[in-house]
Amino acid sequence: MRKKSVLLFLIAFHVFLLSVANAQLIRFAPLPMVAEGEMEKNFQPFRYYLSTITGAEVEMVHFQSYRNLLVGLIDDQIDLAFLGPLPYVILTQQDPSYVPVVRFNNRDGCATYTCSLVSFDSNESRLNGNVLPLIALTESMSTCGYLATEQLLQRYHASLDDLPYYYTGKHSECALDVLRDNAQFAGMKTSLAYQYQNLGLRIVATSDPFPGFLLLANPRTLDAETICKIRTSLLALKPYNFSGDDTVTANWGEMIRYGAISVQSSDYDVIREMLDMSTLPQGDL
Amino acid sequence: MKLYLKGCALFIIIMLFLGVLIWNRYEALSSQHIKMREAAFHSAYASISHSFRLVSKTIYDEVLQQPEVIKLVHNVVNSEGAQRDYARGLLYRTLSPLYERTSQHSVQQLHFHFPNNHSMLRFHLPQKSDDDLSCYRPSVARVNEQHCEVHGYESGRIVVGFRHVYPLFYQQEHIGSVEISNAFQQLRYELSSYAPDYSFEFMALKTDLWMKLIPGQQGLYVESPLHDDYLCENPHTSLYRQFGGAEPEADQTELMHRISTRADLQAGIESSSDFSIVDSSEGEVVCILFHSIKNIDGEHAAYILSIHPEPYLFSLRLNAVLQFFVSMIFTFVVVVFWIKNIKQRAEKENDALFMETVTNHIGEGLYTTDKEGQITFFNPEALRLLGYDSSEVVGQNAHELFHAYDDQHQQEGCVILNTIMNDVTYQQKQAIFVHKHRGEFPVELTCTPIRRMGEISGCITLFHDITERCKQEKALNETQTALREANLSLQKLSRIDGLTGVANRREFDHLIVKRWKMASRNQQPLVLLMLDIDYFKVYNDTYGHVQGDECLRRVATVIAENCLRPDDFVARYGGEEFAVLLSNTSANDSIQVAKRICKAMLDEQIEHKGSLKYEVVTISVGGYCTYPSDGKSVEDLILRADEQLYRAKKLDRNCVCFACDEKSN
Repeated sequence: MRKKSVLLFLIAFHVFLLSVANAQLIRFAPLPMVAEGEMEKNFQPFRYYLSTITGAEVEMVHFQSYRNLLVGLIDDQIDLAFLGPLPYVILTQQDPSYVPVVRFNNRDGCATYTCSLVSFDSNESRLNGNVLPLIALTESMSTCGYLATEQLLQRYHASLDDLPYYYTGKHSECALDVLRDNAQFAGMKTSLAYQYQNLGLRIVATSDPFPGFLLLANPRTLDAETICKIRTSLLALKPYNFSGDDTVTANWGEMIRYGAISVQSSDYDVIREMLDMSTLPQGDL
Repeated sequence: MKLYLKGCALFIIIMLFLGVLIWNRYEALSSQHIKMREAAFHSAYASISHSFRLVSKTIYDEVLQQPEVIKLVHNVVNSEGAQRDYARGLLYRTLSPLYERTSQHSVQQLHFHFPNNHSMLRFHLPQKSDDDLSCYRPSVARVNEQHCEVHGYESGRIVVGFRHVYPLFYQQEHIGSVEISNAFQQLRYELSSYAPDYSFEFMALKTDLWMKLIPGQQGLYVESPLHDDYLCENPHTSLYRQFGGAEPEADQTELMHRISTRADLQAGIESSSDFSIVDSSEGEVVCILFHSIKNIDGEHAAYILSIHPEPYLFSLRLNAVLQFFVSMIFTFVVVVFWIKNIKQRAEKENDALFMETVTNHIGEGLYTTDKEGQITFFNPEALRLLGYDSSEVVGQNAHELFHAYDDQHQQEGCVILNTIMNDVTYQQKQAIFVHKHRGEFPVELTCTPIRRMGEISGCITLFHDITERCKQEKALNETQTALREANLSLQKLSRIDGLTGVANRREFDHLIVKRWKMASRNQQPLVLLMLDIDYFKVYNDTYGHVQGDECLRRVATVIAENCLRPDDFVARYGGEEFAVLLSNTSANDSIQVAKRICKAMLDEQIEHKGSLKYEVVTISVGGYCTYPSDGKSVEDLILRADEQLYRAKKLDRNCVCFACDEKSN
């Protein structure tokens, strides 16, 4: 009788713990690459999906800059983040314990992407002309920012060390600033640059492929079981191969709707090497 | 019990009436207030809408109609492929400063359209273009078709708000259209600047909006908690917050859920027209105005909700409740007084009936007058006694009508009224009233003042006819007089000797004691003379007893006539013996009296042949004078006087023997 009572108590306690776990809140922060409204549009359906597979409430947290997002992760204010390669590498340089969950495919089904140097009506020759062109960059911690743009400019024997540049904060703003003639060239993600081709935005040069954007988990605030559940669910989604899954991801943002592959920290060694060869103008976190 | 039930019914009826009045007044005032609110809201709404339109018109006239802009649009329209993209980029570059500046104020969208209703350039989403708007944007289709301006509310694929669409012409050739739009959120922002305490919500018809939204935008809206056919903004989106929309407070969320079940709300929403509802909870009154927004076809497409607390309505409601309770208390008091009044009136009627019964059967005349003497009430017995009819007496002056005049009345007015006015009850054993036909008759009356409010207001007079009693009293008086006279005669007879007419022995015995005490008290002498007719037995034998009695009468007369002072007392002591009491008389004076009597008797010359010496009737007198004092007695006086009489008889008769005590000597 006594054993039965203890068993019943344990079951009740387990149910209680499960219910507490179900009431868990997951704080998800996407990289602020475009305007906040656009971010909402891209990531709200994904947020609902995360909530469904984890059984937890998922809150989307917006940051104005990459740096703030990384600080939020370090301060354990964020449980899950959508990051680009460079922010991931910088973060893991500070603390390697963060867990990469999955790496997202692009429209072509590859889990890589490229950065481009774009312009509207300025010729490449202007990079070496007498009147120095103004360069718009996304973010200091964006892969397509200083790091990739510097590599692309070097193809034209130019360097950000010699040219004036500024950070817009977002890829879309880089494109728009070029269109507005606020800047003559800009470095941004190629897939995003394509979206502005209807306005005559011209891709001057494109980088080699970089490992794609990834979903990152904070192991201090998110338990391994949940991380595993998310990873398993996202890897199981095959929007290209399985007709049912494309409807699931149809409303997701361009950068996450084409499925994902497994990810290793070593996938981003290429970034680490680039970073070793170049010095970002802004300091560590 | 029946009266109390009536009171309850009256109370309920009055309260219902007052309740309806108060409620109607409250409804009228609150309705008037809400109408003022609605008018103010409509004014603000119209003013802001109009200013939006003016701004758009100004932009259109002053910037978008500039030749270089029109030329750029023309280039976009009339080019293809990369050239079109480049031309579009130039258009974007030209107008982006304008858009950036105006979008910081009221303009949400600046959107150019091709003549075929396809999107040319969205400044708010420039990377998205060339999509067909025909299905979603009837305003664009109408402008491109009719080449006229269109203004009004219209939902869209991205922005829901107020559209101002203008046609564009290049050298009179229609090259498309341009719209300047204001999002609803912008309208809310402007409204909030007018009324910071108000909150404004937006509800769009689901059928008008949902199908237009691109997939990513659907998260911006959620099902309205008020009605299934409507969508409202999702407050958890950045777009909502971007325009100053705040997370709804728990109170407002609760308010929405509370009012969602109200039938008037559902009916109002389904009417698709303006309406308002008032909600009150936990001491706060909130007014929600629903302003219907029409689309460009004039059909209802959405609602703007103005939600604001209404302390005035709360105070109005509180005031109405207070009025109701005050009315209830007042009505209760009135009903209580009414019941009390009814009861008092019933009691008065009972009292009056009782008094009428009493006065009608009292057996005495009763009337009341005011303080001027005017008759106010006359009972039947009074009417009968005075021979009048009720109509003849009420209002008449009682004194002049039937109160008989006498000297006193003529001099001083009515003695009854005069007495009553001094607040004294007046009683008269016998007054004279005048019968209408039979003349005067005696009455006994009692008149009492009537007091009202502390003042004498009149009097009540009670009277009855005492004619019979007067007759009886008169007869009784006569009988009593006769009896009194008879008693006096009997008393006299009991004290007087019947034969001689002088006091008898009983009176003598009574009086001698009185005189003895008086002489003793006054220290005066008292003389007793004992007189005896000489040889009276012989006289009787000689002349018979009849002559003897005559003799006794003549002797008594002689004795009485010679006792001259009023206090001198003569009595027949017994047989032929008489006694005389002389108060305060000296011995000598007494002897003179005795001798005068003897001489007078002798002078009377009453024949007495049996007398041995004088042949006429003589008398012998024995007297004794004494000062009554302790140790002496009346019997001693009589005995001493009797001894002197015996001595006179022994001596020669017809003489006086007199002695006195030492003090008298």
